[in-house]
Amino acid sequence: MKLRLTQKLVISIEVVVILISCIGGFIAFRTVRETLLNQTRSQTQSISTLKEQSILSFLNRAKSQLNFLATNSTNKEIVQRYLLNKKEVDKELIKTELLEILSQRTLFSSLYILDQAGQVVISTEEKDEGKIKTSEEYFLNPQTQAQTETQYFSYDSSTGITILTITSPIKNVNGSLSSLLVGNIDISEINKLMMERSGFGNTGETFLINSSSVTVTELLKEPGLELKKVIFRPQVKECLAGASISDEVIDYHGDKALGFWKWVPELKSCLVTKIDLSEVLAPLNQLAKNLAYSIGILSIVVGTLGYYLSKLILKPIEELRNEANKIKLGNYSDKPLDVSGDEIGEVTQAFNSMSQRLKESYTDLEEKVKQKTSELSVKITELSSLNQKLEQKDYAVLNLLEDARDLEHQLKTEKENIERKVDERTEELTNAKTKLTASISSLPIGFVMVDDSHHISFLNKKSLDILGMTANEINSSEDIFNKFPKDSNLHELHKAFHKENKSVLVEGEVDYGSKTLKISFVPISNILPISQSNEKASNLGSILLFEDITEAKILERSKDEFFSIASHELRTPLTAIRGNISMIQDYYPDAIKDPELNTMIDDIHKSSTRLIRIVNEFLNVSRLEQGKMIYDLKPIELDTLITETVTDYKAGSEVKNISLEYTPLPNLPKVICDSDKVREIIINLVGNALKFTDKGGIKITTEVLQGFVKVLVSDTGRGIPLKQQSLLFHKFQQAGSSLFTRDTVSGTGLGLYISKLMAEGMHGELKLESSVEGQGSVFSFTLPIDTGEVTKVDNTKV
Amino acid sequence: MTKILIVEDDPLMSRMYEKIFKFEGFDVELAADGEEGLDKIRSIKPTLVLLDIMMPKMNGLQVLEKVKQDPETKAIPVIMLTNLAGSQDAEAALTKGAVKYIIKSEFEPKQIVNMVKEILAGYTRNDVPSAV
Repeated sequence: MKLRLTQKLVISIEVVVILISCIGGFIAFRTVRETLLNQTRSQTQSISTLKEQSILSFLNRAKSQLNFLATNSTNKEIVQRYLLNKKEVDKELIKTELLEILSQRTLFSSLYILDQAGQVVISTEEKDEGKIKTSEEYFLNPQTQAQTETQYFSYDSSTGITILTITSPIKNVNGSLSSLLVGNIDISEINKLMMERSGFGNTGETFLINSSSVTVTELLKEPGLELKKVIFRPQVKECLAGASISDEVIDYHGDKALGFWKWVPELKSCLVTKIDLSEVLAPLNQLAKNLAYSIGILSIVVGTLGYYLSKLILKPIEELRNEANKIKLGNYSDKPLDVSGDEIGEVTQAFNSMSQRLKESYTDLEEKVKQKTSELSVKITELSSLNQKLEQKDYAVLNLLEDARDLEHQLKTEKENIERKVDERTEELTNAKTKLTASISSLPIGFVMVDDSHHISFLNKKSLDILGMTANEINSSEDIFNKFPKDSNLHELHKAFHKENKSVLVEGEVDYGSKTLKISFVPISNILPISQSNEKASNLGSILLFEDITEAKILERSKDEFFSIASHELRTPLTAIRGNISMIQDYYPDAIKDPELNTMIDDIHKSSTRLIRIVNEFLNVSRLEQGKMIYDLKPIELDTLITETVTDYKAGSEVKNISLEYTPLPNLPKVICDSDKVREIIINLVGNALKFTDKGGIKITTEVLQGFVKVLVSDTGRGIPLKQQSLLFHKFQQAGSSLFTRDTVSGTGLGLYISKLMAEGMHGELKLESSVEGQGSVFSFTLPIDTGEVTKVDNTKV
Repeated sequence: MTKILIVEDDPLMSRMYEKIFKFEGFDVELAADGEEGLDKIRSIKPTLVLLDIMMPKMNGLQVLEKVKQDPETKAIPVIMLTNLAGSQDAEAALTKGAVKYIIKSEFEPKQIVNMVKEILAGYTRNDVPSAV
């Protein structure tokens, strides 16, 4: 806010004047307040003393009365007599005396005499007689037995009023204590004393507080003796401790008050004298009003005076301002302003010279402005041509923006296309995933997918069933493998499997509790197109397959056992048949002279022999398959072995009129084998060749290969049809024969199967080299060459 | 006279072998189970024992063990004659002191007699009956 100089001056003066008068007023106010308070303080003290004195004089009167009664020798005598003899007459005498005292004066409400046992013996109140007062303090206090004593206020439970008790000892003639005279002072008497105003304002009052901080006399603001109030305040506490305090407080009624607390030792009470502050300070309100009026008037006067004074002082300044305004508008007056002699005059002088200088420089300035203006107009012309060029450029930029917008639109369309395709693909993928998950869940084998760090990524319910675990138990493949026997080392194997980054399946059978599980490790390899990678498979973990083969195992075992036992049980009766028949042939030739009978016996013998051979082959198969076959591996001269075996068959081939040739190779190395088994293999192969060859011949040759010797048996027989070749080495298969034509060439169909298993059992192999229908077949088997290392008997299971 | 003890629980078998050995002029004694076999080996002291494996009361391998532990009987040659084809059994029997392991079904009774004769011939030639 902009203020005129005049206003500023007036306000300054006003502020100063009001401030000064306020401070003055405040000081006066404080002084008067202090004075009033001090006056009241001394007044409360003097009233307090006055009240105390009146109470004490009242008490002294009561005391002297009681003392008089107690020390009256007649009384003493009667009391003593009564206490000894308990005569009603004496009692009545004393009682009459006491009652008379009560009626004469209004000091006591009741009087009674206590014997030394603390029992009330004579009382002005008949109902009190016989009461025991042993617990009363005046009885307990030894002082009360020595002199007349005032007891402090106590509560009389029988009447419900507060009483002040005074006691006086009654002594025997010899000076010893006989009894105690007790007087109860009616509290209303003391109350009257306390309530007497004696010119202490409207709110001034005095009351007594006993040692329990309870008011015993009436309060001005809460009349009624029965309304006792407990007043806990520090002043009361200190007062009850024996001090006298003057202080300002909030009284029991909530008013501000000035009080004086005086300790009255005779009553063991605190005498409170107080008056409301509002009454004490009432004169201050008037003072404040007067002060406000004075300040108001003063400020109006000062304001008016100040205005005119400042007008007078400020006149030359007003003139200066007017002149300056003119200069502002360009009017330079030639006439300088009048100059007065004071400070303002000096300012005017300076103003005049400044005005002159301004006038000169202004003329100079106008010329310069003209010159600059012409220069500016040239610049503006240049700028406008530049501006035109810029506008053209703007247009080009706008075109570019248009193109960009088109491009953006194309991009957006393209993006939408891609997004749609992505959505489609995502849906396809989701479908594929759902199908895959369903497939895996429906698998009859346990399927567990493990990532590269051995954590489980997925498992189907079947796996939990097989392992007998819950999904919560399995976090990593290790959790699963820990359930297996320690020696199975599955975790280590699996770790190695991951490490080697194998791309082939690994399988094994492991015992799992009472179960036997077939476990397969299947690698998950993401084989990227060659162009994208260096033909390297990135390992994504593996799949663990758990197949419960317990049942299958049991079945297989029982089948094998059946096979073995059945064979064994079959052999015994067969042996008996054959043995007995051969004995008949050997020892009873006369009994079977009849040629018919002889042929029949011979047929029985042949049949039983063939049956035994079949059973033996079955047994062999069973043993081979169970891995129970034991091989007696030794270095053998294969040449000798073949020659011996072939010699046995020479006769057979000659019967069929086909040739049987063995072409030995010079320096054939020794082989490691079980000679009995090798003989069986040769017999089987040569036997088969003989069976299926009707003309031509059978050739046996040997070859030396890397670490092996190969024995080849070739015939010129009927050959094996291609589609039968694959069945050749299976159990009970005879190539080229159906079930019904089999008996043309007797055999179990186990021969080749057994030979193959035995060749493999000796670390070699047996196979069909070639076979052409109608031209013949070539079978071969290999045996490892003796390197001299293995000379011991090596029992190796298949 | 050469005395052969046949320890065999199956009467079909024991009868057949009894016959052939009698035909061939041997003195034959029979025992129907392992315990009886062991008793007869101790009491009769046969020249040679044909011992079946699967038998009641005491099996052939247990009998063989006892015979070879007893100094009185350990010199008597024992041939295991059985239809159990397991090679392990054969091995076990031979290490326990049997002189031969014969599978019944693989041989005619006459062949078995011949084998016994061969074995006994060897013994008489060397005059030192050996367990293995």
